[in-house]
Amino acid sequence: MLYGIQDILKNIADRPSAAADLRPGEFWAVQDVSFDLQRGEALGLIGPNGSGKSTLLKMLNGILMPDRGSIRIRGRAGSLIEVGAGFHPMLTGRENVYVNGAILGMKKSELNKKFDEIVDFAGIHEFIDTPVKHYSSGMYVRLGFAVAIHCMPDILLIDEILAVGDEGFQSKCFNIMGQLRENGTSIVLVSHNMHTVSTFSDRVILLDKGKATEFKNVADGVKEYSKLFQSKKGMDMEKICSGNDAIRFFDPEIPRKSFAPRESFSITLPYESLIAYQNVEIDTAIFGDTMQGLYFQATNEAFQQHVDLPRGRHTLAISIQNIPLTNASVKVAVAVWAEKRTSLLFWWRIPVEFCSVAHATGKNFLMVTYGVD
Amino acid sequence: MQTPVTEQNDRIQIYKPNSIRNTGIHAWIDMVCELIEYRELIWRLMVRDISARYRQSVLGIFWSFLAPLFIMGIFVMVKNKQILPIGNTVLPYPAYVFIGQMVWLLFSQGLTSSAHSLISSGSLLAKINFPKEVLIISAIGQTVFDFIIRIPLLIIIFLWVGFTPKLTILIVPLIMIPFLFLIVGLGLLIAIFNAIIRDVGNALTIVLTALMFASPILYPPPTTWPLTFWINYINPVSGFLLAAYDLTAVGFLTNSGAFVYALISSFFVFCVGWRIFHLIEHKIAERI
Repeated sequence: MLYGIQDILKNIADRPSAAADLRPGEFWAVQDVSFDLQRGEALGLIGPNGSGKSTLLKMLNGILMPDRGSIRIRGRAGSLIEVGAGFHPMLTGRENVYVNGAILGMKKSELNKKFDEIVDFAGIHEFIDTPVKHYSSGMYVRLGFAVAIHCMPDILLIDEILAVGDEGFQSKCFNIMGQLRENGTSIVLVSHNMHTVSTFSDRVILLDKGKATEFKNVADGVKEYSKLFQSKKGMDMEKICSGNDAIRFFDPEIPRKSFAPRESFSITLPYESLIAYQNVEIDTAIFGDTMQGLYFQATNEAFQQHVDLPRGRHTLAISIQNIPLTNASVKVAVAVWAEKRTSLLFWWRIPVEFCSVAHATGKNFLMVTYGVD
Repeated sequence: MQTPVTEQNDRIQIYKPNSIRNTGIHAWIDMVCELIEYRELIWRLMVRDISARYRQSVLGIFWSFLAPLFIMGIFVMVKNKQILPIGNTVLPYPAYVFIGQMVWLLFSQGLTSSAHSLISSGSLLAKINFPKEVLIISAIGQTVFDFIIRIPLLIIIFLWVGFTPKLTILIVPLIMIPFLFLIVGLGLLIAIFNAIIRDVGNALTIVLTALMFASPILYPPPTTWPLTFWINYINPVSGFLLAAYDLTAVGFLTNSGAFVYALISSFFVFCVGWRIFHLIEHKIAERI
C-alpha cells in the first residue's frame, strides 16, 4: 500500500515514477518481452502458471501500464479475458447483452443490428428474457463470449477461456476466430491446451517467470514448455544393475539418444560371463519422465524369441524397432534376468528424446495416408 | 473493391510509463472527448443499476421516498414537541426539511455511492479497459434519478402544508447543475482514494453525518453565534441549500455571497478532482 501511495503522489506531482526499479518486496512479473504482431497473425502465449501471461495481456489491453518500455497498438484491442463483464445477475440476458456490449465499447445501434446474431451464436433463444442468475455456467459463458466476439476488435486477446463450453461451442468459437483472422484481426491466445495453441498459432512465445522466448516453430515452443514441467533429476541415466558374481556387463553402446519418430533404438551390451545363461528374460520398457506414463513394455517372450547368453566374452544386441513416439523425453529401460527370473543380471534406464514434428501434437506418432478418387 | 479491413479503426495507442502529462489544454480536451465517447456506457450502467435495484421487491421505487420522509417526520415531531429549540424557517418547517433532505441526499448519497463504485466493480476494472470516471458518474446519476422521483412527493407536501412556492422554484434544477459538479469532483476524489486506502470510505460516513448537522437543513441558517456561522458558510453545500430555499420561498437570493462562493468552490473542486482522478486512474488496476 505504501508503494501505491508513493507512486500516486509522484504521478500527481508529475515526477518520474520510482516504479522503474525494483523496491524491496517487488519482483518483475514480466521482463524484457519484445515482439511484433502483424494484422491477421495469431500469437500463442504459453507458460506455467504465474509466468506473467495474464499480466502481459493486461498490459496489451491498457489496464496495466508498463513500468519500463512501451507498447504501440494500432486499432482497438478487445479482450475475452472476463466473459460476462458487467453482467448483473438480476437483469435478463437481453438487458445484459446491452450492458456488456456497452462496456466493450459497442454502440447501441451496433448492438441492435447484431442482437439476433449474438443470441444465435450463444444458442439461448428460450432464455434470453430470464434473469442471468438462473443461467447455467455454460450459458453464462456462451452469452458473454457471443457478445465479446461480435465486438469485432482489431486485436483479440484471449485468456484461457476457451477451456469452458462444450465441443460444439468450442468449434463455433474457432470458426469465428478463423473468420476474424481472415478479416485482418490479430489474435493473442493464452492457453494451456497445447493442441489449441499448436493448431491455431503462427508463432509462439514461451513465458517463464517473466522472461520470454519467441519460437517461430510452434512445435519447438510446445516442447520447451513440456520440458519446463520435467524434473531435472528424472533425466539421468540410472544404472541399477550391471551384473552379478558370474556375469559382468561392460559399458553398453548406445549409438543415439535423440530420435525422430519411427526410428529404432538399439543398445549393444558387451559382457563377460563365467557361466552360460539359457533362456534369459529380457525386459524392455519405455517410460515417460518420473516413471509415469508407460508407453511400452514387453519381454522377449512376447516376440517368441528365445535368447541364450553363452559363456565367455560376447555382446548382446537389443533393438526396439520403429518407435512411434514424438515430442517426448522418455526413459528406455532394459533389464536382463536369468531363466525364470531367478537372478537379475542387468538393469539400466536410459534417457532418450524424441523430437517434435511440426503440426503433430500428442505423444504418439502414427503414419496417416490420404487418397482422393 | 473495398475489403473489410479498411473499416477498421486506425487509431494508434501508445502505452508508456509516465505517459500522462500534467499540464496543457490538450489534456482537458482529451478527457472531455473520452467521456463523450463513453456516454452510452454511462447511461447503460445507470439504467442497469436502477432497474436492478428494485427488482424482486414489492415496494420497489417507493423506498426512495421513505428516507427523507422519515427524517422529516422525526424532526417535525421534535420541533412541535419542543424537544430541541429550532427557530423559524422561511418555509413551513416540513417543506423546509424535505427540500433540505432532497438536496442533502443528492450530496451524501452521491458521495457514498461513488466511494464504493470502484471497489464493487473490482473485477471489471482488472479485465476491461475503459475510463473509470464512467463508474462514478453513473453512480451519481442514480442519485440524480432519486432526486427527480422525490419531486412529486415534494409537491404533495406543499399541498399538505398549504404552501404555494414562488415561480422561481423552477430555477432550482438549474442551480443543481453546479452542485452536481461539486458532487462529481468530490466523488471522483473519494472514489479513487478509497480504492487505495479503504479508510476513506469509512471516514466518509462519519464526516457526512457531522456535515448534515453543519448545514442548515434541520434548522434555519444561523445569523448570530459566530462559530456555527462560519462552519455553515465554509461548507459549500450550504450555499446551494440556501439558494434552493430562497428561490422557493422568497423569489430572489437573500445571501448571494454564499451562493457565489459555492459556485466558485464547486467549479474548483470539480477541476482539481477530475484532473487528479485522471492522473491516477491507470494505476488503479494494480492497487485496488
